[in-house]
Amino acid sequence: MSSTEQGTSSAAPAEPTTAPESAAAPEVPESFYYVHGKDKVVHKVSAGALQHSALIHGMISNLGYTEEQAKANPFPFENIDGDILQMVVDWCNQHKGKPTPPEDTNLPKQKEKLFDLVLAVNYLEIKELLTYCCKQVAMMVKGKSPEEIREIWMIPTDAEDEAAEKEAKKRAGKEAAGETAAAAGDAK
Amino acid sequence: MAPLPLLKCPLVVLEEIIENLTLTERFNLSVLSKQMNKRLLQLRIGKIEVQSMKITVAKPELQIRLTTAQEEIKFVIFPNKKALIQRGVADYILNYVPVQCYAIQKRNEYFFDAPGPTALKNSVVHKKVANLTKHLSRLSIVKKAEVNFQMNIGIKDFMSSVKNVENFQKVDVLGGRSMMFEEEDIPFVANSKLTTIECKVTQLESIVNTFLKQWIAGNFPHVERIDFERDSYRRMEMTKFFTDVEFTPSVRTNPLGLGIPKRTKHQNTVDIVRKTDNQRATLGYCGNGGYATFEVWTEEDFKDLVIADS
Repeated sequence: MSSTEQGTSSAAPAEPTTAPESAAAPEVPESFYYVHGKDKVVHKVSAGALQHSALIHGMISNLGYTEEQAKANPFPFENIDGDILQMVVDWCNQHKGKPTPPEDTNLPKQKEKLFDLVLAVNYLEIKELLTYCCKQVAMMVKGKSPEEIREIWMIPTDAEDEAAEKEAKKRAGKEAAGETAAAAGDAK
Repeated sequence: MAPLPLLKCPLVVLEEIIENLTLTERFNLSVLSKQMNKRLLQLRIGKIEVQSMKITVAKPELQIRLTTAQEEIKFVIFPNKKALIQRGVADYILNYVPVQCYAIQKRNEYFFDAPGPTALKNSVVHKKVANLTKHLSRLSIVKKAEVNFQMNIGIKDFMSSVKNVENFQKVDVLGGRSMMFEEEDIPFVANSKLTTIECKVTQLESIVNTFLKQWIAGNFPHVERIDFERDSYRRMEMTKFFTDVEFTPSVRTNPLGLGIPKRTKHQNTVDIVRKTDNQRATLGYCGNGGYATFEVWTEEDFKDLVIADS
């Protein structure tokens, strides 16, 4: 159901007319929209699949694009990596028009990219996927000791926090001094 | 699995993640750094419900056990580091915030050392209990607490160190022969949420009399039952129980029949009525002195009475 216009995806492109949803309601042709991430690879996604994303759904409703306009103006998500956007698009397609079951087996498995995925899903406001991703993040520390949790979730120690704070103050002081010097130069 | 920078997550995400953590996991997270603890306490997340908190004050250690729907967590405070070493847990003593100096043996067991010459009576222990219970109360809501004294360290002194007792729904203090209940403890207990108390007293007659008068006046609103035990044998002057107290012979068909310690034989039982709300209670005591039990009537008791009358 999803198709990638420019080639990195292994997902088989499929025409919207072949979708079972279309067969069930042939009189309403499905509309499609286009999104791209940081890698500029454009993904074609049905409006039904995009309903999972409150952000995109809102954009679609407000813009009232025709198919041609939508194709000419893909929604740019420059802050989302291409592979992450692909994962999200795949998930939206798999769950088009149906609620997520409690034990969802069609979820992104790449845990190395969980943080990026969480950020993307939060940005795109996909509530159900965010709930699942947050559960996965919480699962990372099941049965772990505080020190293991510190490593897994990269929690700085008090000493590290203090050092970072000092460094930030130092930098802010330097910047302020630089601005003062520049202002004095301008005045002369 | 690649690490994930938790503190860089947006607030909504952080809240959703933390909602999925158990009390142990939240506690472990909170002690990692001041910054982490601060962030955790700022989140708009539900507190974990603790079904029961059991505090056991004994030699050589003090234990606090929390039971939630998912797990049981145990905190143990030792009088000194040597005792910790003997338990084989001193190799991993950590200095975490906000609860200083604790070690973890298993995932759900935390050990603290509280050095001091007078073992568990010292202020260091009280401070640790205060810090720990205060911190736990920020992460959880305790529905029922039970404090079991197996050594006498003073109910008022100790209970004052258990923070947020006023927020607990039900608190039982069980001491039996180990816990002394003094006149000076009465005002503290009167205004607390203690519901069940087992204690030892020196002046049984005067303590019971003071307690009854205060209960009739509307104090001790949460007390359900108190078992008083005299600390040494001497003949009681039972009439002193009732100085300035109105009472009637008990009308209950089975007064103090349930839950009473088996050793106790109550030869005499009287009923007392609190005039402010017509709440009734029964006081039972034995003829030669030694024990007295005060029990507030439950709704079931009132129903039984109506049935018996009809």
